[in-house]
Amino acid sequence: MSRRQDFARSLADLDLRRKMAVSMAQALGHRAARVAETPEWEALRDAAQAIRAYGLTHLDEMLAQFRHQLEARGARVHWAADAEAANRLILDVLRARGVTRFVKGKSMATEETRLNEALIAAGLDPVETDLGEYLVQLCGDRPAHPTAPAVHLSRQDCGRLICQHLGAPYTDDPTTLSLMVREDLRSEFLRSPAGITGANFAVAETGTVVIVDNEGNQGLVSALPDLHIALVGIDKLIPRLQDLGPLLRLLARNATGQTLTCYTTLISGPRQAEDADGPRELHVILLDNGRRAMLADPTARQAMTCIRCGVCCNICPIYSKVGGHPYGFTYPGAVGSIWAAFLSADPGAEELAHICSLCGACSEVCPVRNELSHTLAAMRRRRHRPWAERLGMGALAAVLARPSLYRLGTRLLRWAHPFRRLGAAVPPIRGWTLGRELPHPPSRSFQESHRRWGGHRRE
Amino acid sequence: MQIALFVPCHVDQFMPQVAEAAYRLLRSLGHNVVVPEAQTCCGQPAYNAGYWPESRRIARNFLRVFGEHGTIVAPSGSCVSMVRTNYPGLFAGEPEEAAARALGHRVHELSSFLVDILQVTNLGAELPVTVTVHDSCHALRELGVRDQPRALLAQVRGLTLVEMAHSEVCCGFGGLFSVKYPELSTAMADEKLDNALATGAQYLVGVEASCLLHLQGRLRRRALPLQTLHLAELLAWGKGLL
Repeated sequence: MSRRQDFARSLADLDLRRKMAVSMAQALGHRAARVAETPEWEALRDAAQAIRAYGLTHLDEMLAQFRHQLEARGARVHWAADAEAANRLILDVLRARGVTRFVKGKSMATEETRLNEALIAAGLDPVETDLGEYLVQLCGDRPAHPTAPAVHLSRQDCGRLICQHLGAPYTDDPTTLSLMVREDLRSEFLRSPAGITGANFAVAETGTVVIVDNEGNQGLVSALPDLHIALVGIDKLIPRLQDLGPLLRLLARNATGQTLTCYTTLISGPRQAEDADGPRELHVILLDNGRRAMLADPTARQAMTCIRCGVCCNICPIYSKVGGHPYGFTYPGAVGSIWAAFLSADPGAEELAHICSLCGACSEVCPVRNELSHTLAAMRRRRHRPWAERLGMGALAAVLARPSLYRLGTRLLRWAHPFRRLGAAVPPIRGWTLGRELPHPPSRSFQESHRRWGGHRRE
Repeated sequence: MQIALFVPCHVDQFMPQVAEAAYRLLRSLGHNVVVPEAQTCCGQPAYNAGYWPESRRIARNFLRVFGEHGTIVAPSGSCVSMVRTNYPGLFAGEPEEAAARALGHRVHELSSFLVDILQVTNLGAELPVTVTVHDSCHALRELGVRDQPRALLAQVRGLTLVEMAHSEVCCGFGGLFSVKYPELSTAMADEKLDNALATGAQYLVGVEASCLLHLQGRLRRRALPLQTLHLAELLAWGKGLL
């Protein structure tokens, strides 16, 4: 099935449209309130942009420093060139320690590598502990949003899924439901021999993995079990600890409209002699999986500075109607449509750059000032286009580049208009008339009338 | 002032009255308006579809035609933005780069030209109608056109402006996007039209003919009691110029 059909099918799902409209309006409303009360908003964006732009030119330096700092405190740092290598590394570490069932914190990197599928296929049993991911796992789905995985589910959907899973009578009361899940997960946390997380940022200066969440589960996943594995995209590196200030403030305000997430976990190594708790073993896996290729691309490299707040999804007039699933890629929305060209195993994912009206609403709100819509327009040059489209565009350019042919074309358009029904099979006309009437060209174009009457007409 | 009128191809072909209105409005303000004969298109359709060499072929004609003109005005935000915002990148490393950059500063969208450059808001128009405004994406976000159309409308005697919800959200046109992904494009149009209808306005006014062509096509298909009107048409009509 084509992506166009995937999007059309989601559009036709009116229940989904309603849920998305409510969630997106709420997210944007909360964000707007934070923007309004933050007079230094634009200065924060400038600071964040500068921090992230530094990373584009100092990646190797930062990676080396990050690794050095972590290893000095006894962590193991691994490199993974692609998704398969990352999953293999994680599986090897878990198997060597006889781990089968274990807890996971919300991590888009592990979604990207499809870690759960790989581990389940190897006989392991990951338990998602973020409420959204827990719900997504219950319905065998994929996250529909980078920060709100279950954004496509209503309160009633959540009630049905959770009560059915726990064998409890139906309720959709959010407090009751979250307490039920808390109860269910608490025993998992206490007995889990391992915890897997992603990272929101990785601080080079101090060798620190930074994870934010609102449920406290990331702290439990990373501190309670004896083994902690963090899968970190190499785009997550930031130079200094102090850079977290503007980045964390912007992340929370854009993503959920909070001033700061409820929990911020900083992990700089496994349990040290003086520590009362923490994992005895820490593995950090640095994931490339197409990121270096994106960094090497002058058109797309800016998108590496993304902090995954998801605001380009929320503001998008397309995403906000259909959610993340029709994109068919881990990261939906504007920035995801750029990433897809480098990170997706599906070469057809380059089409995503075309599924955008180039309205620029995303560029306007991006916390690190990514020129998302301009990048998407420029990325459209990459794709191998159908021959008919290339031929058509070549012909159009030939006509529009020559005034004499343009004049001839003006006449032809008028001669052909009465026979427009015959053109209904031509793709661009078919696409237009699917939901719209064709415009009527008046008998003369402006230029034709002007040439005929010029400035002599009565005004 | 001598003003060269830049008539975008879709305006020339499908909405000649918009160009006529712009021409007469500018003349009525005492300016010498010329319409360069060899103009065709700015190259945006090919640019947005990812066909940059094709776009450059078209844009070279634009540079030839308008290169010698000092002040260029178009009744369109998107085409002006194409020249101002995208030409520098399109011609990067090409012999025309400097000329393309220089041209960008001389091209103006009509409403911002009237309000920001000529500093005119009261054109002496009168029209007893109720309208609502659609903010076109490129005019709004790349040229900063938001208050200018409203300032002009505020001075039209008898006119009532009722703002619609989410006037700044895209109408779903997007060039080739509109025919490649018609389901998405029309769903976006429907949201825009429903918001416009909710205001009770008779006319949906905009500064961008391409948005209006798309919205008009959808309006007609749905047989809705609403009409699209370009700001230039409205002003010229209210001044008795059309």
